[in-house]
Amino acid sequence: MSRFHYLKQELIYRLGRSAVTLVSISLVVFMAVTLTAISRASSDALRLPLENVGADIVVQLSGDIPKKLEGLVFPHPTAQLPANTVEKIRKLPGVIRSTGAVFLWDLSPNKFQSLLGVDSKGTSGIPGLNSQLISGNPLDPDILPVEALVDGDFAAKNKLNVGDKIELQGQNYRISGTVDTPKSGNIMRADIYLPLAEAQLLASKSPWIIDLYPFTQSDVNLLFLEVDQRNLVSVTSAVEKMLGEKAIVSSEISIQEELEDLMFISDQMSVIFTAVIALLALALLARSTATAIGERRKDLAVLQAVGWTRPLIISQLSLETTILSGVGGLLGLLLAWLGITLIGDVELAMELSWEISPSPHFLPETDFDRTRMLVAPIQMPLLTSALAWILAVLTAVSSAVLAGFKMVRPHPWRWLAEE
Amino acid sequence: MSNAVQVTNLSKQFNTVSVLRDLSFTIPAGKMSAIVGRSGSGKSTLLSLLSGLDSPSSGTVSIDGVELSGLSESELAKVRRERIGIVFQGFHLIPSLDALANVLLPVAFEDKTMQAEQLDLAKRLLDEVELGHRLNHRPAQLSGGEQQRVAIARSLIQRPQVLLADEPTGNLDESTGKTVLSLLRKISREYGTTLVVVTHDAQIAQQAEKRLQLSNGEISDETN
Repeated sequence: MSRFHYLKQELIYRLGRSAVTLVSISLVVFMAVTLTAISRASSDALRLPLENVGADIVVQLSGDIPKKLEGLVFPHPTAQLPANTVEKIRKLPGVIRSTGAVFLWDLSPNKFQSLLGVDSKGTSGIPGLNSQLISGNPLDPDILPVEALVDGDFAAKNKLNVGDKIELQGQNYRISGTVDTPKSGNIMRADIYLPLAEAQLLASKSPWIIDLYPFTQSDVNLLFLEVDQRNLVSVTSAVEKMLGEKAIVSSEISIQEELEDLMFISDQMSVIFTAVIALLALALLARSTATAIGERRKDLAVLQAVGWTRPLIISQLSLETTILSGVGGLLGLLLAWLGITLIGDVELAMELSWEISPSPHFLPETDFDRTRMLVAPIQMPLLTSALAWILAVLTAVSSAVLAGFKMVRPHPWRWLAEE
Repeated sequence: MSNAVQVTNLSKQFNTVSVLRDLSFTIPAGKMSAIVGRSGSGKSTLLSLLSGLDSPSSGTVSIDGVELSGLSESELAKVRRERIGIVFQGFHLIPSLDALANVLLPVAFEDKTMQAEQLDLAKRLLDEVELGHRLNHRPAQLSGGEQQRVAIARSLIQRPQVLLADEPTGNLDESTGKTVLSLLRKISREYGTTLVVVTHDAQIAQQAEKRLQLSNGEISDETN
């Protein structure tokens, strides 16, 4: 008979006790992994609005409402970004890439359409847009006469096809193709996309824009910044400082601040909830392990009586607990994986803040719903899974070692004398 | 004749209660000795000190020439493993293990070569205690007498110099008790083991070559 035979027989013989330990450990791991996964998916969902505009920071400037909401206007309250400030922002430490854009609303009593003039470079520019082509040809900024891309949903709603003409401020543009921008994750959503220069030309000729701003063909009203994540806070602060009180700087930070309540629920609450559950489960685990060893007090004394040393007995207990907790941990991971697979996604309904919504929500006559369903897949958090497993095993084994030291005394006679 | 056990000025106190007082005696090797006394006389406490499962308040115990009081915990465990066999009144078998595994428990951590030899010896010992047909039965599947016979086989697996038996028939009926005792005597004789039986039963004590009468923690009579 080997120690492993004894170990196996103990685990089988005391099936109920083994099952309690297994369930305790499974619970610890399952709770920690599942709650962390849901929490992370919730956070991911809340970051989607920014990820969908393909930038770390979106810079705008608050402006005035045009005297008349007709034709091409800046989305309220967006203003022209001063060219010299744009240049300074581009040179800020931590800014990897910047893409200028012109975002316009084309308003008339019977219709609304949004227009985005995009730069020829960058993931937030024409290459990012063209990568989501559904039909037709990609947008070529050098082709004349200038062509446009339209959003797939917008095209379907307005029965527009590739080759049709679309009219903007009296100018007709041939539709070269349709794109699926909601799926792109690289570019801000609009109905119509034009090369930046053409959008700048249109804006510079719009009476309701030039009535408010000295907009020229080299200006923009939207700036997308890709930033080294380590500099996100410093760049955000610097841009806000440059543009003053009217700065509208959207970033992960601003969205978190704006959605503080929602984020609190998804992040902090889940962390606290996970921690409380995990602590309770760990306490249960430690107690069940210690109780299980306590029940074997007399057996342990017998082992001493037949010549087993204390270290040997404690190593035997540790080995038993390691195997039980290891298997229990794996069971917990399996349950967590099943749970995560079954739940699938986190869905959050969120009203988009105006600066990241393409719709003129302030207009009473528009019926655009800014509420957006944010859907993020729940994924198995590998690092957390590994840590939860290790923590559960360590807790169980350390409880076993402590209980072993407590129960296996140098002079075990009194346990043997008890009948 | 050499002594298997030598006790010198041995005392044991529990808080202020003196259970054993200044005992000095020897137990001859290869013979059966009995420590006799009424309940509460201190005989089981004496056995706990002889086996090294408890420590004395003062005095010394030597088993086969090895003084226990100077040994570390692991050295003491080695002495128990190699030189002392213990049979308890309550059998104290491990309930999860079958008879064969219980007998092999003291050598569970030996290397494989040794284990193979000890497996043969364990089977032989179980045969000798007439349990060759119950090797794979757990304690719950055995009668009290059978459990005590497994415990005897376990106590002999390392061929100890000294076999200590604490009321070995105390939990058995008279007939089974007699069988167990004669087995203990027979096997210890065969293996040349010194048998020390703690008992309150005068009939058992009569069978011993040496008797120590304990009263109130002191040796009141010593008969060779």
